[in-house]
Amino acid sequence: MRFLINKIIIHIFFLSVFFLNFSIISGDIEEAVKLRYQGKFEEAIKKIKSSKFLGDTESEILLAKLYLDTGLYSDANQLYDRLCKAINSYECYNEYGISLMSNMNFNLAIENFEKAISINPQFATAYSNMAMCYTMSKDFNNAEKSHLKALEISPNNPIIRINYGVYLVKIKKYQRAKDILYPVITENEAMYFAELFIGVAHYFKEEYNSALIHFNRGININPEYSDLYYHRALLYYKKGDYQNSIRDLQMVEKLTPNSTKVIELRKLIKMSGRL
Amino acid sequence: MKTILLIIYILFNNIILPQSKFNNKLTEYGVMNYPDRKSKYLQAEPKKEKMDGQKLSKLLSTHTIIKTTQQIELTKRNVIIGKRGTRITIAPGTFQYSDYLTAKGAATVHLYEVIDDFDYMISGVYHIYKDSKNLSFMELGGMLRFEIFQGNTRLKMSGEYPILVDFPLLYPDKKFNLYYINLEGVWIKKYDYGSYDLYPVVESEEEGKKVIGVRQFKMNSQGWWGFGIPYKDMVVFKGKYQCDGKSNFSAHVFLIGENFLGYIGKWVSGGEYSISAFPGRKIRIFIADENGNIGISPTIESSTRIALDGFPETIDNVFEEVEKINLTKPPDEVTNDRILLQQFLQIQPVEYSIVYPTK
Repeated sequence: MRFLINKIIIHIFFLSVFFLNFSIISGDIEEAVKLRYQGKFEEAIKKIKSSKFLGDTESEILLAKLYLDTGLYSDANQLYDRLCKAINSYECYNEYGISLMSNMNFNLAIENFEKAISINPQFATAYSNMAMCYTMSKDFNNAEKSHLKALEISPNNPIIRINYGVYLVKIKKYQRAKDILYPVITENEAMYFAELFIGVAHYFKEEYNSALIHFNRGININPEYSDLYYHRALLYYKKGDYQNSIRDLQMVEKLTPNSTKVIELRKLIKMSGRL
Repeated sequence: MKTILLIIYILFNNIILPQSKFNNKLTEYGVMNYPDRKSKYLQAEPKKEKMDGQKLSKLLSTHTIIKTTQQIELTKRNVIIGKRGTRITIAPGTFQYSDYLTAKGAATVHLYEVIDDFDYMISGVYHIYKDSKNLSFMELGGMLRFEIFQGNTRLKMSGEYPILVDFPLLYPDKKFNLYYINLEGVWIKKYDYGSYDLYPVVESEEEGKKVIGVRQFKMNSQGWWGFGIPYKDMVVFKGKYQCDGKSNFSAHVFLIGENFLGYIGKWVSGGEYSISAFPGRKIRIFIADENGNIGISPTIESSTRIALDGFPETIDNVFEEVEKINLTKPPDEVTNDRILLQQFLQIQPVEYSIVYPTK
């Protein structure tokens, strides 16, 4: 009888230790997730790294994602390489693909997007990301196919439509790009990225007033997105409005210091004898 | 509280700003997207109440909103004038197929116009507007619904060439905003008063009809578009209803304004109801059941004592009592005739002619 009681006490002890540990792990991860949602990526990384349970799969996935968020692609790749094999999820392969693509490792990125698709053939996002990867590696044929596949699976997804629109701008099909992007801003609120590329499409069609409307609308939605100012600066330059162009370039420099694009445009304005 | 803020933050980032930096990388090649599997936070999204497609009582569902149907050629400029006077101007290349290619050939336009109380009563549309802070009921200034089909296929609007709308200017002094119902069935504010054009005319009468101008705006999506003035602070009326001595049935309770356009409705059951109303205004309350019966309150003037419907009555949340409403069935010839039914409900149809702007 005493033996049985001792055994029960030991079991209870181990169970409570287990649940205590579990709640600490959950607590740390939950805190890091909250920090990430708040955009406090560095703090979230510190939180996970300081946790004595670093090494747990869930916390490592979050850490890899945080490395991806912050552009620490080599660190992210190391983690994803190990984690994706272990957990074999389509999200993991998709994230690994993005990290590799951002590191200019296009072939391996495509392999990982294909793994994500083989696990979940309806995961349109992986097709859309893979299409971008093909575009970056100048394989436009496969880029087009992948974009269209993503659209076929998820025709109403605004991000997938934006990506196809951006691709169409890249391959200079400006009217088709507008046909894809306009409904996105009509059906969804606050799409500054779509506004940017509608503006770009108008710009290349030499529809400068329309381009200006969309750059302005984008800036209204997100005044901290520097590409909008850059393209508006380009537009003002094209229209001969050098003063406004320089003002927008100053804004780009403020938001993204050391931008090479700014230096190039400044040179052009200087050559015009206006700076 | 922190959790609620977090949920709001996440919803905001994921739904309203899908191109935010959260789970996205914005690049010159597009948005590299790495979504989470639906997290426990996202599951907390409250269900949104659809404003359109609301159930009507039997009596009102026998009538439909006046619709104008017209064939157009999509590669040409088209001007359509609805039976209630709304003029829409459609540029070539305005519509697309589902693959985003520009639609060509013939298509059929359906234009529904909601101008007066009766139109609102049979529209099946509610008028509650929620912004980030407040929930508001709307005083109304008319609405329209536009749809276009090629055969059985509903075309999409690309949005690059908006449709120009000249809408009857019935209440020229009212500062209406303009709203549309989005794909989720929620009213979204498109234009504040002042950011669309007004073309008033000097008021006159022509063959017994009022002569009016238009409100002109650009419409870039299909579906419902409506004018409204939001009211955050409302009063609440409460009362009882019965039909042939029975009260244990569900009924549609709604109210309309007197000398202003306002329509608020909801379904209730068990012989008792409460309903929000505009403060300091004259209104009438209607109760209609699913068997074709209807009852009407006398004209009531609301107080300015603000209250919230859906919350318990307390010393600070006082509901104003309305005398019991008895439901009766109108004769069949009244039920089936639009004009007779409007007379039975003591609703005055609005008659007018319009002077359109020339530009």
